[in-house]
Amino acid sequence: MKKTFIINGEAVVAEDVAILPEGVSFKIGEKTFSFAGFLQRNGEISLKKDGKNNRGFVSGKNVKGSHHVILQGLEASVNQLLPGRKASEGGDKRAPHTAPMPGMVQKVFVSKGDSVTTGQKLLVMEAMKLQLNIEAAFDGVVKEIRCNSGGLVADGDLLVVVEPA
Amino acid sequence: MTAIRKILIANRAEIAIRVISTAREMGIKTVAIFSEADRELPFVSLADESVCLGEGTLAETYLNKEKLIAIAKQTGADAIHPGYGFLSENAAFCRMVEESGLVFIGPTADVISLMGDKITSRDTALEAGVPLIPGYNGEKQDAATLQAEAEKIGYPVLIKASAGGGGKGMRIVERSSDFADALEGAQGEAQNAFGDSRVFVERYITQPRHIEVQVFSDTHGNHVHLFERECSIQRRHQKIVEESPSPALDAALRERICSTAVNIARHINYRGAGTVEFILDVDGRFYFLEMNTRLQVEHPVTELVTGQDLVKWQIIVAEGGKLPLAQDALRQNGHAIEVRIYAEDPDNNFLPTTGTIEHIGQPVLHNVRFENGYRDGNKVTVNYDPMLAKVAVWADSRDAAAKKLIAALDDVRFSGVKTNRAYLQRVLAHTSFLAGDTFTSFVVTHEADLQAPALSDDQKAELIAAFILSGRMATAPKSNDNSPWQQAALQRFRNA
Repeated sequence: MKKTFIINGEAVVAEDVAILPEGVSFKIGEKTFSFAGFLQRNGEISLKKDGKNNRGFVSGKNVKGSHHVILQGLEASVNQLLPGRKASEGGDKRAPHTAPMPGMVQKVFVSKGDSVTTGQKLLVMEAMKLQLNIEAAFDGVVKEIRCNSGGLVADGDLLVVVEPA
Repeated sequence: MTAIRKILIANRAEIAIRVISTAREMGIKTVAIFSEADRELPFVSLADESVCLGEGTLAETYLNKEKLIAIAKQTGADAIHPGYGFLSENAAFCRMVEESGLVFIGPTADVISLMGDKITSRDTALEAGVPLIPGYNGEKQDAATLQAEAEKIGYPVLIKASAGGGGKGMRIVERSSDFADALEGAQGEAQNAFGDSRVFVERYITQPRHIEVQVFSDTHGNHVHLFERECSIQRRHQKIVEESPSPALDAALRERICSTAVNIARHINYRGAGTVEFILDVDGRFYFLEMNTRLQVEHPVTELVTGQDLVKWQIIVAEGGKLPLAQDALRQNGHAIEVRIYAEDPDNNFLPTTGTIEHIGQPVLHNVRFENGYRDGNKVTVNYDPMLAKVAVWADSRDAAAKKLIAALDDVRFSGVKTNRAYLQRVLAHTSFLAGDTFTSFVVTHEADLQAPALSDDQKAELIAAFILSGRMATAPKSNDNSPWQQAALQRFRNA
């Protein structure tokens, strides 16, 4: 069984994945990894390998569509790439023109019907004293503005709809 | 002496829990106030009574002075503890509390205004004989006057645009012969950027450290210090690592800086817990920065090295009692370090992170304090401060404390919401941190070293193994793919 995982945006292929009663084993490249491990009822996972123990949790899918895996001294966003999909579709890859963080829209620079070019500043948002520009990801025409200057937006909200040219 | 029987806590999350814990120990009842958004947080259920402030902005909830006092009256509280932040340094609130016949657990309103204002607090420090960063901020702006002032201040000096900000019109001048050119450059830039060429000149502090002294005063004229904390490790002026003792002080310098802080407290006839902040330069000279007239976020490191409960001291002073210990009975034992856990992503420009905390892993090492405002299932939003928790450890030496905190942080896992945990571990493990080379520029100087290293194959394998074992792998459509119990491999746990 071969499975592809997206770890922090990078595709990692695990081959010969075997889920055993006492743990799991797989190959990455030429190297074989096998872990003894179990899941406890509170969601804590225990992993044992080469006499070393690690413990942690795997969250459900977040708004970015990936899981937060947190172990001792190690954490990452992890997702499974489903067969037939490209690596670029997995992980934290975001839809264009969405809010990368929750916060306030400071100012919108474009209006409905405007032509925009790649990299053009569409709006600037602010959260925790941080300012972030949302730029056009491709050339196109603004079809819809889904936020207002001064309005609050949630992480992942679509802010501007741009129809590709 | 008037015994306090019930305290309303005008704050939220970890600091509310901190106050509740001491109040319970002292047999004092507590009232929590909470916004609708905070309903599920643990401080709400830990207090003896809790009153909802409804939905709305901060001004309508936690900062609503009239409402808080009305609730205190209704619930029969006799004192208000403001925590830190929020209304803790709001003189008007303090005055309203006292005028309504309640006890404000903190200093008087007059002292809060005196030390809360940049100008009056600096004047007060000068009166108390405490040095400020030497500088010239006068009207005379001719080159000869400014150069003469620079000579008086002593090099290196910093020339800064009076109207300025953002580094425009700013020059560091190392020696007298460079001054005229640097001034011309700074004035030109200031004129261009702000339409105002005025500048001020001050001593440039090389390798500055942030050293602060915990002071305590009662209403019987007793003033003591509980030694220093060093909080030089800051990101964007936000402290992230705090420790006591400071690796930069020897016994003589510690005595000087701590007694200077006590002089300020005595000079203003202070009451309760306060912190005097200083900038320490590389030659052991220190300068007054500001005074915080409240309990600090980082007070646990002081508690760990002195063995005292500062909230208890606050309550005793508010009741009109005497300080529990005199100066010569106070000791600074071993070493304590605290870090602040923020909901932010160090691997993505420290953008704030939000979401549901699914699980919180608890520290299990001895002598570790986990001051945590949240519990499993709580949501983290951008409405409130991104600090989720603090972790503080005590050990007999600085090296041992750093090592222990790194290990303790391994256990502190906020699953579902990324935090700065791993970044803090990299700070604590950095050779310059361990060498005690802690300057306020630390995180900028070592930015490259503090970046997350690329994942090794072994680490990737651990992550994949955890992911597979979690049962959260996508399976065929329609199945209940979120349930770990659907995994064939986990069959033996179904009947466990």
